[in-house]
Amino acid sequence: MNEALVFEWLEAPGDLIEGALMEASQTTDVDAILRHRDNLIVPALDKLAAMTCVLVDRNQVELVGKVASQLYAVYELPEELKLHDLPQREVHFGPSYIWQQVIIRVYVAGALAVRKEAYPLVPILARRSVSWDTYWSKSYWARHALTMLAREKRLRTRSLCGDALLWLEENPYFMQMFGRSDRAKERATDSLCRFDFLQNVMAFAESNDRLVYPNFAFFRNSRVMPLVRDLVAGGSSRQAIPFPLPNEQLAGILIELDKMAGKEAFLVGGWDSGEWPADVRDFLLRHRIQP
Amino acid sequence: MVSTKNLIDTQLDLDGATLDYLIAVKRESARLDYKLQCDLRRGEKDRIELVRDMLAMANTDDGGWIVVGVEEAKSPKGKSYVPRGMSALHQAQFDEARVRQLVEKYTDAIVDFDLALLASARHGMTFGLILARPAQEIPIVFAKDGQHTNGGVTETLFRQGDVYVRRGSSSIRANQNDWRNFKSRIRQRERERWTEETMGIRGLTDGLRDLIDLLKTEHASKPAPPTAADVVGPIEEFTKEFTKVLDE
Repeated sequence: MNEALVFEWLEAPGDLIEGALMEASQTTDVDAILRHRDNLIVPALDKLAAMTCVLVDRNQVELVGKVASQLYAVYELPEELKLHDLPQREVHFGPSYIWQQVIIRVYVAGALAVRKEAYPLVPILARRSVSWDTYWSKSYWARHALTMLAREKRLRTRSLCGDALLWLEENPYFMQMFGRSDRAKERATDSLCRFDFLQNVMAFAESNDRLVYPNFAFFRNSRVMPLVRDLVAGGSSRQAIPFPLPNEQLAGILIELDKMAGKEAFLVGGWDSGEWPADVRDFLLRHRIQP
Repeated sequence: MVSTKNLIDTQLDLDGATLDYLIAVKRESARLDYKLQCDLRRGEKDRIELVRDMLAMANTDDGGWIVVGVEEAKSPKGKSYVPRGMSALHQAQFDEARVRQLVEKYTDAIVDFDLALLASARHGMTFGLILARPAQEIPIVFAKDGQHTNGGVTETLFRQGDVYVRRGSSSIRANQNDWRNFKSRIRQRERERWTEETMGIRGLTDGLRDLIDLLKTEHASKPAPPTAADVVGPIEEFTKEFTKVLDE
């Protein structure tokens, strides 16, 4: 493999996005901004996502790290370029637009990693924090994006899992990575929820706090339960946690996430709090925590 | 403005927008070189480095850009490029006549370039920008040694008779492959001139060449860096090409 050439491919979309964002940030002409957004920025982000998915599919750990850094570099651009929101509410362009577009693609790649059971790739994609604001330093970038989008009422559903699923439905090229049958959407939904669940476990363990948001809560427990069972059984999904996580701590986190998810889903259905299968319940009991 | 043909296109205008774009690229390549300073009056080394890079770019397929006023900073994380701007003193010396005189001192060939001092609205500083276009008569050969004195020791950056090209972010002496490339470019130009002058069938030959290029791409393409057109083009083709690059 010609590493230098591969790097040129990985870096090309980011370079183009930076140039396009810079130009877009210097004009007030909405049509020109939309042209930059739709003809340059979005296609280039799609190419970054496509390369990420190819590398995830091939389980190329180091290169996934490189391409994730490119996505992260794009995520930081609005701050670096001091990009402003447009006064026109009906046109979504500004920092939150870039954050939304990046994080949705990260979710899709993360879901693919879960689908392929390439669990060591999960933290590579999920475990990044914004560098420009210490307030967010303990949260992962997904929580930052979600909060900003929610504040601006730019979420299309109520969660990043839901938004990523909508995006997949609009982008069949990516949806077919989850299979070509009618089951692709089901598999994608399961994988998105599981990716979200894993990053919540990681973020909770690392911050030792509730600096997380259960996007998976808007879907049924059964979406993530196979993953939870694998986690408590010490299966391969534990590789997604890149630091030691004692069973006692995992049990505590599961209980907390269950409570948080139950609260979030209270009005909309979805996660049913306290509904654990026997083996998970047994795990929680064995580790002296009453579910 | 950003071209969709190439990420760093020598067809870009020599203006503030191009300057800001080139500064934002933050990566040197065959077509882009950053310099922190360029003392054209007393900086012996600055002068011959500038000539070397300009001639190397002129000898390379697409020419290239030199931005003066950007510092290369090295850290354990890698290289970064920090915009510093040009000092007022260096700005005063940075003019086309002076650079042309300098270039002519080291080569007898015609070097096609443009130069401007430009203010960056984004950075609030002034930078020097040079566009070295691909030379019509290739290769351009150094007619004189490029030497400077450093602490009493004379260093030679290039010698009379040397031919330099850009490879990656470096200006280096042409090797056998580069000479082969020169030969092929010269032949191509001669063919073009001949058909145009004698037969007037330029359109036809262009069409045939496009067809040959297409066939080459389809059947024997070697992976190459992506162009901006690839980045904004169809996703299936982009991914296919990227997969080829990974498999090479």
